[in-house]
Amino acid sequence: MKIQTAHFGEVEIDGSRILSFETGLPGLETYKRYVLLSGGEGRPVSWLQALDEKDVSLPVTDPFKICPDYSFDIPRDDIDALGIQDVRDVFVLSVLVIPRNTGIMTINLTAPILINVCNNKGGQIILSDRKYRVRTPVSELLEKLAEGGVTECLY
Amino acid sequence: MLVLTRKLGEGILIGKEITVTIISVEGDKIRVGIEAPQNIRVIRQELLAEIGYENRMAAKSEYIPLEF
Repeated sequence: MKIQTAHFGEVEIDGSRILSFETGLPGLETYKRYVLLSGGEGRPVSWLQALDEKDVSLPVTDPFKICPDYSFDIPRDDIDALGIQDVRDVFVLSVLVIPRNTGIMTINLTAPILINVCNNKGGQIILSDRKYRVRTPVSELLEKLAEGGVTECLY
Repeated sequence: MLVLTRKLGEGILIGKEITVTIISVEGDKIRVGIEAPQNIRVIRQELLAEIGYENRMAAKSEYIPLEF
């Protein structure tokens, strides 16, 4: 099927790759269906594109790549809601904010998006401890990665 | 909405498994202890609003073919 996207014009997608977010995303509850669009070969940012609104497209990335010691427990409710049988079926993404004008790029490590690859169900979970920040500067994580030392992304 | 008055050290039971206790009161700051089963999500109310705001900001992100 063909869909309209915010950044890639009209895109042909495979219907079996539609992700179902039953409760939507906080702040964007209206949109329940998304597809993950690659930002290009080898690029770290993909776009979570709403199927039903072309202008809703969130940049996402694999948090473990820039914060290798990132870790959290998946709350029981979320395990049930997403029908997770095996943690290896879970694909984790973090939402980025890439400001249009001034400002720095940040990553939301408090509310990771989980996708169960077995049933294409997705959801954004909220970690209840205060270990990670909603607006972690990406540059901060990259600097630590480059240093090759401790990749401390905690508060 | 149910409105209750509680004194320091007193609590509220919600269902069979959730207990909310008033631990301390200092000026406009009230410390609350919550005991709930692991499967009950307990978060600060404003955190959900903050995440909603961030998601809407994210949806307005600029498209740049980034490489980290």
